[in-house]
Amino acid sequence: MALVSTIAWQGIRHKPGRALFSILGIALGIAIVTGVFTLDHNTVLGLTAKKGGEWAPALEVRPAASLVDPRGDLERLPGVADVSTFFQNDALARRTEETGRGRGERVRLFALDAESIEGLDAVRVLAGRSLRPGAAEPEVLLGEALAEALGLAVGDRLSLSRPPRQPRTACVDGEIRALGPEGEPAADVPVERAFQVVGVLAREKLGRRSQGMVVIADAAAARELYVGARVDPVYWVRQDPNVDLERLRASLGASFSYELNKAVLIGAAADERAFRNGVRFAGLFALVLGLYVIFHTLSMGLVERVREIATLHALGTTRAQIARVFLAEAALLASVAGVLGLAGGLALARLLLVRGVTTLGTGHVIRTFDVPWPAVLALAGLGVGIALLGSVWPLSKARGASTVAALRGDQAVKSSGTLRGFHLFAAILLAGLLPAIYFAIVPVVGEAQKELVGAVLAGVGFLALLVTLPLVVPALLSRTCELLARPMQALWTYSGRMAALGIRASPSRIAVSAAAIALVAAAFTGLKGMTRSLTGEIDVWAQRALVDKVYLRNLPNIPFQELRAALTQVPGFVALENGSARSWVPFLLLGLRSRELYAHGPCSSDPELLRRFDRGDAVIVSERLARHLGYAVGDRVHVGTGSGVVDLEVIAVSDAYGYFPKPDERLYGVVSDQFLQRAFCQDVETISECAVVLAPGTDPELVRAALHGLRPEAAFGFETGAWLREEHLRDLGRDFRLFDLILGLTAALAALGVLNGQLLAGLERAKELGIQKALGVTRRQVAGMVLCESLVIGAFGGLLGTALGATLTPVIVRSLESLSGLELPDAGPGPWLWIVPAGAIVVALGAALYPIARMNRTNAVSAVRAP
Amino acid sequence: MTKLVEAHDLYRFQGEGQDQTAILRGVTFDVSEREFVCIMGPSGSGKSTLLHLLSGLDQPSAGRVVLRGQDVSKLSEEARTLERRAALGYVFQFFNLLPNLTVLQNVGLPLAISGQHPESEEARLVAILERLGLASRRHAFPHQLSGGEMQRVSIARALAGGQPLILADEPTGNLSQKAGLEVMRILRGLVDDDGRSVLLVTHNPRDATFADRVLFLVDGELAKGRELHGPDIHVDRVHEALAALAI
Ligand SMILES: Nc1ncnc2c1ncn2[C@@H]1O[C@H](COP(=O)(O)OP(=O)(O)OP(=O)(O)O)[C@@H](O)[C@H]1O
Ligand SMILES: [Mg+2]
Repeated sequence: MALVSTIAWQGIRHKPGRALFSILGIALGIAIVTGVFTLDHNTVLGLTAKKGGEWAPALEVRPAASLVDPRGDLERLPGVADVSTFFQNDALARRTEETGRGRGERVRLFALDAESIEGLDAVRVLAGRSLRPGAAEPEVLLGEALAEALGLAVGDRLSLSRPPRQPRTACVDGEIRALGPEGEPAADVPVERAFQVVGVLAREKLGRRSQGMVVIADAAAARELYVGARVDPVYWVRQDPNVDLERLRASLGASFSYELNKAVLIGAAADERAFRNGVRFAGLFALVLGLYVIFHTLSMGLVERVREIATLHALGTTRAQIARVFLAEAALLASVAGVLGLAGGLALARLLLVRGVTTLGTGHVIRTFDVPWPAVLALAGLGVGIALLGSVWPLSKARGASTVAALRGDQAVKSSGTLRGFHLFAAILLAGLLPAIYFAIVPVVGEAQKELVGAVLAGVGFLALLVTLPLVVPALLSRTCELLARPMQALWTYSGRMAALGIRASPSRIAVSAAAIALVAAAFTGLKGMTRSLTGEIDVWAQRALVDKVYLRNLPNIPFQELRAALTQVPGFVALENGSARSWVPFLLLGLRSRELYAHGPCSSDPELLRRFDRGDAVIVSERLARHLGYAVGDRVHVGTGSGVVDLEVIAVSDAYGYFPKPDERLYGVVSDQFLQRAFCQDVETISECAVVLAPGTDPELVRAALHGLRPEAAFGFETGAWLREEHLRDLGRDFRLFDLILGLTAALAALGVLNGQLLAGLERAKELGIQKALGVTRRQVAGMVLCESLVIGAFGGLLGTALGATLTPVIVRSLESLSGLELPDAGPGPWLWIVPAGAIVVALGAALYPIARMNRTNAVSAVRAP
Repeated sequence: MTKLVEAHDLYRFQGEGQDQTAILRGVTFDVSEREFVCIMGPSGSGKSTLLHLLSGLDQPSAGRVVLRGQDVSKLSEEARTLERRAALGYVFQFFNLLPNLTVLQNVGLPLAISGQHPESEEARLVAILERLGLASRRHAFPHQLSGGEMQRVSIARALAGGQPLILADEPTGNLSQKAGLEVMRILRGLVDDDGRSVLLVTHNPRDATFADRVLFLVDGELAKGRELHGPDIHVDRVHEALAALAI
């Protein structure tokens, strides 16, 4: 044990730099990956808590009247995890013993299929049990408040009846009408039934509805209370998170209308999934890079290590003792790094959440903080474990190396292929084992579709390519680097010459440093290319949907005709789009007046289109709605209205009409306002919100002036399309700041890699340096040497990475396109083609500063003294 | 005659407090232009330490080193380095070759350091190696050389820079009788033919006979009145002096 602690501890003490930077590398990698995961976890939790008022299932679905077995059809749809029949109604409840006395408490009754209650995760039972399917006696679950109010406990009996009814109303052909009795019992005598109380609900989920004055009963039993009443068939559906929401929506669309619960489905939309998966991949990227830097450090110390081991062995230390020494040291460093990384990661996630940075964009401040311990510990453990594996490698190598060769000098060990083997081993661990385990711990969000798997594999392949770079091309690399170093030799004779020599002597060290820089440069170029594509997409869309419009809000309900008459006075006025008539069906449906379509957009060149729109059973869907839900011209859209499900025909796909910034929703359809009036009894004659379409180049202020002329006292909201476009672009920039941050941290990791490499090379060559100093090399020449090397690393890595990133960008953009459902133009990397390599050089030069300072401290006397 | 290097009352202590020991205790001497000075002394008497101080690699605890008229301790690190580069060729006791460079590259190193192109002087460098019997080994790496060969490479390196003063710390320690003699002839030739100066540290009485002056360093002090003066110091007188000082 003494040997273990002495040597392992002395190893750390005498090479504090190596120990520190090893710890930093692992810790930073672990911090980023755990931070990202914790951030995502809390983003979804926090936003769900924010949106969620009342508990509701993921989807509430209404079948088309023509379906024979809607429940069975639903169960068979991909993406449906659980289905239950559902209806709710008011009821009167009292203790069964008190039947006949008083009216009882007014409660809310939720009727669900007993066997699906658990699957829907709709309740938490505080006492007793949940409903049993097929129970002989009808059973109920009570809200806690109701149980207290009636003094009921599990085992008691409760009587329920239907309260005296108000006439029901619905919108039929544009009028609110009372619904007919439809064969109700002649005398309105409510049925009363007794139920067995089997459970009391906690005050959460359904148990919180109506302040806890709720009863949950099996749908079949509850239905008997409302005999004769009309109960629309409705189903509650829990979504299978492994199937993409769009697929579920698209398959539902054929015969069901539905309502989505946005609170449950946070982060489940296509673009949100793409973003979250991107963040997860960035986490993996950071972990790989961090470990890569460490392996680099280990491989640097390898020769020295092998010699150390050989010397120890020559002095009579057993192999087992040696193994213990090095394992102890590695375990100590890796676990310190693991703990630091974990703490740092959690702190990072916390900081970002408080700052309003989430994995679903910026601007939502989330105060709650929950640590997903199992996954986070597994991730930290993964990092520590892989780092340990990397440390054990030199041991297995030392076993094979000849002691004499190792004692004789560096060259003998270096040429023995030890390093090559190490790099191969590292590549297998980092590009194979690590991603495999990572995706087991942190699965991708949503379906593992072809495109997503493809994108992930491409990413991993890219990591593998760069990680194996030092393995494949040391010769090519040293040739290239020599070429790069040549002009420097002319500029700084000695420094350039020594840098070139150093590069030639250890091409794989240079390759590793350059590869780390290249990885980050490629990721940056890819990211910037991608954001430029997204920006381009917004540009294209904004051009079609909003730049030539002015949005007015909170208008004092102006009659359509009056407003239009005033606006026609504005030179350049084209059309008036009413934003006040809207309905969710379940996508946003806007009602526009037909004649407002003819002067712009596709209708302006196609009178037939306008005629069909005017007919009232046609819908123009937005580009994104068409893409997401798979609508094409000629398809039919089912819309649930007060008087049943109505079919609308898709006659065009266009963004030209009907976009409104509040709510910012690009998934919408436009119908004739007459349809909205008929189907939903919407007021389409007065306007409180509208878009004014103007000819290009018109001054938007003219619209404001016209409004002031019309209603001088009114204060209203005024936004120009051009300003909204800028807002969207700014939002995008903000959302991607998280990626900038993660990549910034990985750039720090890459810099750490360069720093480590040079520092260790410097320490390894301390003697050479000392001799050179004794021979008259100045500090400036030492600095020049290291800077020249950095310049080569930065230039080579930066150019290689940028080239790779630029090549990969179209691939990333295409897979993002199919993943997010956006139509993305290829924008290319633009100015980043120059900024990224320049940045890479700056990072590499910056990383050289510490090694330079350290190398200039080497002692010439002790160097020349030792044999 | 101009003095190339002067040592004035040099002290060098090592360690702290109780453990502090004096390696050098008031050493005063000098080496002039065209002079060959030899220092002899028992192992551990501080010879290498003295050379480190004279070259400006190490700082004295007390006393002054004057190199070509400049007080070394008053120079900045940068200036000291440049002065060492210009004034001295150094044969280290332990050869200290750079393992990644070939023999020829190692020998050309002083030229490269001072910004010259060793390639353009290759013929001269090869001639130096030739005299040391190493021309055929010029493309070998240090780890492929024997101890004696490495020693001769380090001598060649000290000669290549052409500096006026050569400090040589036991340059013949690993050499055969014949090779050692050749090295001594080369050193003597530097003084007689090139007008350079040599400060030699050695244990070998035969080597001392090549010097103009022989000093004896015992326990960190120069033995007073024991110096031998040339020309033509006989080897027996060296032996006598060593015996008298119990070396
Ligand atoms: N860095 C150091 N720390 C402690 N003691 C030192 C140090 N350097 C030298 N010494 C001691 O100083 C003394 C003189 O050393 P030096 O190398 O100058 O001797 P030397 O005369 O060259 O001997 P040799 O003939 O064996 O080479 C020795 O006793 C040595 O142990
Ligand atoms: Mg010595």
